[in-house]
Amino acid sequence: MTSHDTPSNGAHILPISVYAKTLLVLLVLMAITVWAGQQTLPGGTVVNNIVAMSIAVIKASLVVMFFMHVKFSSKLTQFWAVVGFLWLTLLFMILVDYYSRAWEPVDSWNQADPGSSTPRGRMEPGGAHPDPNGFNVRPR
Amino acid sequence: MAAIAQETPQEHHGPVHHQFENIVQQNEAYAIGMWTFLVTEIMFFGALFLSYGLYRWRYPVDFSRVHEELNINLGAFNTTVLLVSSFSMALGVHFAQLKDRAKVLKALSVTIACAFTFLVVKYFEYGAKLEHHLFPGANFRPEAEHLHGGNPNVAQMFYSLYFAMTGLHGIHVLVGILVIGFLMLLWVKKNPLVTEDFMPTEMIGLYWHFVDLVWIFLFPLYYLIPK
Repeated sequence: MTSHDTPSNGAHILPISVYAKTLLVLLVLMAITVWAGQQTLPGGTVVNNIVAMSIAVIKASLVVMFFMHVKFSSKLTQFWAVVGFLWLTLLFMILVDYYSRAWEPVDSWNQADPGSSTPRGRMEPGGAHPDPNGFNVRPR
Repeated sequence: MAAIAQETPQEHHGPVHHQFENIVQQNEAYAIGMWTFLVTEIMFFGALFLSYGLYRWRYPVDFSRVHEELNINLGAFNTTVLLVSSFSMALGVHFAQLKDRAKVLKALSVTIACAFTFLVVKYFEYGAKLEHHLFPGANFRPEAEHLHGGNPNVAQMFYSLYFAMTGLHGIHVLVGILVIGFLMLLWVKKNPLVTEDFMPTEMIGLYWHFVDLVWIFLFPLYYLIPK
């Protein structure tokens, strides 16, 4: 299924049924995500979030693969499509910084010293954040 | 030299432009150009998704309470509308590949109608939020019932992100309507730019599917926050 069925305009023509099936699966997945979002799943809200995001990723992949023809595109096009989402995962690695602050062996910043280093709250594992009103905002 | 001198701008040059070896290479160049643009769009929206992720992670309970003000049915309806519009856009490209002008126009009309429906629903959703003074800023003073027990400061953050992200997405829908409208005009006028070459239709299709893609993530993140 590559160049032998390519007409003069270079189109790779898929049957309409491919698009119809994609739409059907997308709608079913949407119904599942709405339903799953309102359930109390074992494992808590983390599981809800994982389910919702997994379904969103599957839906997005279907749109990219079939509606956007990436499954049937050249390798270079596929590379470009992947690069965008790869960059997104790198961006989200910033979250590691927020996650790891609780591991630092620093008690807190010195409130009496306005020149002290970046304020860091100390969180006990599973404990409350020392500043209940927001991120580490230094009182002025 | 003689061959170059003979070519004038008015001359019809066939489907392959002179800088390309063949039609496959030309079409690939189109597609990669469009995907490069879409990568910048992913970066653009990605930063907003990251800020959303940070605040949702920081205030999971307040986000869940405040989000109850959003109407899941309207959100699900709009998701369906966008998915159908993406389907009809894909059909539009399919018929453009087959050079079936009448069906291209029908499919693109459905896409534009869906885009309008989406914006009308969004208009009513925004209207209700403004009516309840939920727009962040100096006029943010909602009744307690509209906060559903959430912290007002977090609620303001939630609605800042909500209006920024769905607003930016809404602008993309609006641009989509304009671009698809212009594409339809070219098809109505039988402009060879679109009737002889399906790639312009395909590229606008890629843009439209991207708009759908963003909503696929916005919908669960804003309307389906677990308790």
